[in-house]
Amino acid sequence: MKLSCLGLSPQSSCYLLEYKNVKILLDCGMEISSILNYLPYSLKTNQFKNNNQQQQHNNDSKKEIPVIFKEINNNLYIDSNDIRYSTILGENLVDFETIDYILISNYQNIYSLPFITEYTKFKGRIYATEPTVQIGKLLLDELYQMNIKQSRLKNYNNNNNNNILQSSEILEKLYNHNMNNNNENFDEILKFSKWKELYNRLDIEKSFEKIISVRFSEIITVVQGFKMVPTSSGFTLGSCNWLIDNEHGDKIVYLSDSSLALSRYPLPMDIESLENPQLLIMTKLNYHPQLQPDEKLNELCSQIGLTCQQGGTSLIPVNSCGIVLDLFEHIAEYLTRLGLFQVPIYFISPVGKSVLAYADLYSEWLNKTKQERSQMPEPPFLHQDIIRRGQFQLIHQIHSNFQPTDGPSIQFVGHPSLRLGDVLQLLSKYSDQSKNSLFLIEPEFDNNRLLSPFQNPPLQCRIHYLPIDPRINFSDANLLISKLSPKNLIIPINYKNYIKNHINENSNILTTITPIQSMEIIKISIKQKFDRAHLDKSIAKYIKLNRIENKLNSIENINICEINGQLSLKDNQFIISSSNYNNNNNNQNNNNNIKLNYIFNNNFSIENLIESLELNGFKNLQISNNNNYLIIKIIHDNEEISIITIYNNENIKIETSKETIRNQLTNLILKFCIHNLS
Amino acid sequence: MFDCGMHMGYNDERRFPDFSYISKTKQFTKVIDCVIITHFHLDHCGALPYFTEMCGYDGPIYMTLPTKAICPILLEDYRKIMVERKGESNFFTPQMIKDCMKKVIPVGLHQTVKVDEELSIKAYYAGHVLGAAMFYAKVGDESVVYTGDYNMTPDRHLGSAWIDQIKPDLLITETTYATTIRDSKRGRERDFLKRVHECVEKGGKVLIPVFALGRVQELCILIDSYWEQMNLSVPIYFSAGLAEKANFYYKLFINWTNQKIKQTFVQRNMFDFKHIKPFQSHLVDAPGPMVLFATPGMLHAGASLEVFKKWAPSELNMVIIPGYCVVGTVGNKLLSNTSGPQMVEIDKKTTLEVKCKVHNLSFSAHADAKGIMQLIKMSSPKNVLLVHGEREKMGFLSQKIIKDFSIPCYYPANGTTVNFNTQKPIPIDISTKLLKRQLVEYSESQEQKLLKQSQNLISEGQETEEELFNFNQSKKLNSPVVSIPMQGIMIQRENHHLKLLDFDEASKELLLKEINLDYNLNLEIINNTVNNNNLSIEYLQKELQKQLPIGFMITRNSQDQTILSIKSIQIQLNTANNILKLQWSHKDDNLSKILIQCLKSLSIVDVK
Repeated sequence: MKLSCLGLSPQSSCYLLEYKNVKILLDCGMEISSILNYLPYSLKTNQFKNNNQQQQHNNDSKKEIPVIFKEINNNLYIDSNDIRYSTILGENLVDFETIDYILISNYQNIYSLPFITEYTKFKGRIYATEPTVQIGKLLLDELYQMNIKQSRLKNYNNNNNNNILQSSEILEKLYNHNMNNNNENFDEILKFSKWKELYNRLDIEKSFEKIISVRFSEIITVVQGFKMVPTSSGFTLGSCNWLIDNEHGDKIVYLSDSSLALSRYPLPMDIESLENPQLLIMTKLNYHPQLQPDEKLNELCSQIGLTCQQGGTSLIPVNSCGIVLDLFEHIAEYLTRLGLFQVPIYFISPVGKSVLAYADLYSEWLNKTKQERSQMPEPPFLHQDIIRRGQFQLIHQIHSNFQPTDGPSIQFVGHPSLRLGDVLQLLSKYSDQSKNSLFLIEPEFDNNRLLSPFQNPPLQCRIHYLPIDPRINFSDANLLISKLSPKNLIIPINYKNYIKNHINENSNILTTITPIQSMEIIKISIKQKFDRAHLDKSIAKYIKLNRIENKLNSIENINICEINGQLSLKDNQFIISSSNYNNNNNNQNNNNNIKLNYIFNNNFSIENLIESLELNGFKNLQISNNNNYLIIKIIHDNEEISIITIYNNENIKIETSKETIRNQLTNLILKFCIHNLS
Repeated sequence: MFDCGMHMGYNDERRFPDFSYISKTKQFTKVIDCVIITHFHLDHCGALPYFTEMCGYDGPIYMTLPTKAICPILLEDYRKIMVERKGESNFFTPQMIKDCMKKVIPVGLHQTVKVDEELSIKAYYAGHVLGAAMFYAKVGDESVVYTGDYNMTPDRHLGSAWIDQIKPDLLITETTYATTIRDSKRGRERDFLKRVHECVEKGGKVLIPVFALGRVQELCILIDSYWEQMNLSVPIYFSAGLAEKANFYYKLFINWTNQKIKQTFVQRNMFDFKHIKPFQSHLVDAPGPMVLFATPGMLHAGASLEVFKKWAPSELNMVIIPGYCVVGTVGNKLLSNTSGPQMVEIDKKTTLEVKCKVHNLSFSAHADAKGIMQLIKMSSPKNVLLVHGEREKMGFLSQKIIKDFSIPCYYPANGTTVNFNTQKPIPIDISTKLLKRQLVEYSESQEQKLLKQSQNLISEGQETEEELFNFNQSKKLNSPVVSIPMQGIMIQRENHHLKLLDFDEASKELLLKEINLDYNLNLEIINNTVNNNNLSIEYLQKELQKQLPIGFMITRNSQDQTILSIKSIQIQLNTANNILKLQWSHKDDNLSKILIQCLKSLSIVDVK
């Protein structure tokens, strides 16, 4: 079994698992934080000095070189509104045509799918849960809309970017300049890393049509004798972990974003089904493992409350699905408790309405309280109630008609990277007043990198960095590992100092931990000893069992017999049938099935053999012992000689010049042996 | 236990199943591993509270989430009619319905649920009503599919039933329309709309008795869009109470409806009707035309019966019964004579003269004969059992199934038991090592076979285009591997799976020492002219190779060119001493016997 890591970091989670000659791609995320290398288009770019030194590499022509890099606080930024996206690494490395399956854990890890399905020769099957498909499609479409809107803005640097941005030199410069990269095979990564233009709408449409929707605990049977099962991961709507399993205890668990928080909206994580795997791949743990999401949530509420009381606007850049489904109800309730029910909450997103509508449909994927509401029958989420009360408004996009109240308001808006989407407009509108607040709550973006381009003029509003990450943290992970007690554990190298070896108390299994980094391939020997097959009627009726004695346990009966038939694959099952069965057009093939012979010692000993030889007329024997070899010389009447050499009762050699005598001697030996049980 | 329904035609203890067939001592929980309810119609779930709360069954109950949500409402609705209107006393209470529903475990479509160590179940979409499912149950290698009610043609609000080709040992299918082949859905819809439109145009009132959930939503969508299209203003009503709530279920469980509704629901929810308003009881006597959907569907009690009593005497009016009516109900009596005015007995005291038009439109979403055959083909069962139908029709259908699919088909009477023999291959764990060895040996022999064929062609100088073509053809024919030889030791131990091992593995497993028996046979070469003149190692190799079965290659030993080897067998020609030396190990004894036979037929050695 082989696992290759094709993601740049856990954010762009992507692994290639090769198991039983089947290639399975686990997730295909996108390194979305790479867009932080761009300058927000809303900033007036001439405020920054050009970094001309950095352009020496690509000035092969004397034409005017696009002003592409800007330096701020020693960080290089790309000044262009035509954003390229960092996708998974595999392209030159993996032959996508040979990949059999893609398994998606949740909609955060599906952003590279159109690149694979529409731009490679991939022709396998893709599985994801129903909400992952539905919401994922909305989110990709949202990203597409934001991206196209931005790139259509009249701007400057668009012409030659394509060539420049794909050059690995530029990437290298950015990486070297901006990141303290300690990845050992960094050069390799640069070689295979490529930023790409985003896919278009048709790509998304066609790509998502290819996904097969599944539900939790739905078993996908694979011809090669194993099954793949999605189980709830408790992280978001329809998020799952994948279980790859067969009847013989090879159990592989791919654990992606998971959450153990019980008060959240998704169906709780299914831990039981994941227990005792041979291999656990554990990725996408908490981005801020030292922080308590509940504390941050409470702080978020109280700071929003304060901002409202001061008449300010709370601007909250968010992803359009995910933690927001926890927040809307919670914040509305909090405000009502404070008597601030007149403060409007805006959710500004081109897909917001659809996300909320779908969330209400997926009661089967929600926690118990929400499921029970759907049986009343009432929508599982309270969003419609809050909308009806006039406290909550869904805004498709910001346009001239959007006139939020002058008083306090709360505005959820994308994109959380502050590089795309309506958030930039709102930020320039609200950032100049100190009564307003900007809340940075999505965990995958680094605080400093998010804000550092916004220097001139500096943001006047208050900034609260309150990342709320419901994913399991390192101590949860360690507890989970000791509960699951995997034999082997693979973790991204970033986690290696935090995840510890465990000896599970119940099973006494010591977990072997192997860190993996981008581009690395790890081989793990899962010693599968058996495959499941079936004996069919044609062979079963001829089976005669032979009872033998168990040398260790005399009470137990053991029956053995020789099976000599043919094996075929039918309906995903190995069938062993009689050789004569169904072979009318296949006679040739069976000719070379010449049976092998085997001999097991039953009660063979030298004494027995000699006695038997004498009884059968071989009177003239000369026995000599030579360095553990026992040599029996048989002198026949015609003075010819046959020799039996015996070593250690296990190796016997018969040397003679007559086939008849050889046969006779062989039969004498076989009398004391177990052989030919068919 | 699949379903736990009630018979709507009876008002005595016969309405509930006779559970004493299961256990005379009422040990139901012991006997039954789980109860599975396929959908919310009372003939499938009506006896559930009775079974769990009054008979004492306490095991798990499974149903889909919509069924779990809707089922208690229908049960309560029915209970009210029975207890409050008819004065029944020995009936379950509202609390019992609640307690019963608390025990229900919801299952999602395609989710495999492990009921216990042995039994697992899986639900498939059945399309009959919202949340209707077919269930696949598996114990060990034996499996059964129970369809409940299903529909193989998608309609305006639900998709069609679908199932994997799971090859169950037994398929239990409903056969409501065992011998009907219904005409096209569109035609029936047009017919329905035409009748309704004609009636209201003449100022008549149309009563459509329905169940609150199910067909009625489809009819509502149909009539609502027709009204919109034709710009009609005649009021349409939906008998209050259940109705609004029912539509809400459809909005919430839109995932269970058909693709079209699912895709458009964010923009326009099909269940937000524009023309259909809730009905108020005073409207019964209101003048002028109207269309009314009223519950229950079989006109056996409740609002639909009350309205019917008032509207039936006028020939302007019309009753359209869009479903199936159980014997004994008013609906059934009406349908038995739709030709003209008739006297109908409502209950023991009342008889009513019915002058209004009566129509039956087969809108009830059951599979017709074609659909049933389609499902059998789809799931490929080994046996079929027909239920939920009329005896003669089932008899006819079973003949057709036996003829078309050549599988046994049964339609037992109530209270009888059918036994099925299942023939299952015996599961055996085959050693991966053995499997690999056999695969490698097979592919090697295949390669050698091809090599030999090509060598033969070349060496014999008969390389013609035709032969090359044949050779390439045979190469192609060889490519898909149908089966490979398999030889190993099967071991049966108590409390273990059967195992098939390679010889050395078996020797380890059984603590039996394997004996390596080798032979060294020095054969005297026959003294004849051929041997004296021609016998050389090349000659031997060529002649033996000709006689050996295809796939065995004789090779020259690379170190000692005087030795030929094949598998463990070595042949050494010693012409000086007139000796042919054969060495082999016992495992290749069968091959060596063939070889010796070849040597004999070549008159090289004499074997006595």
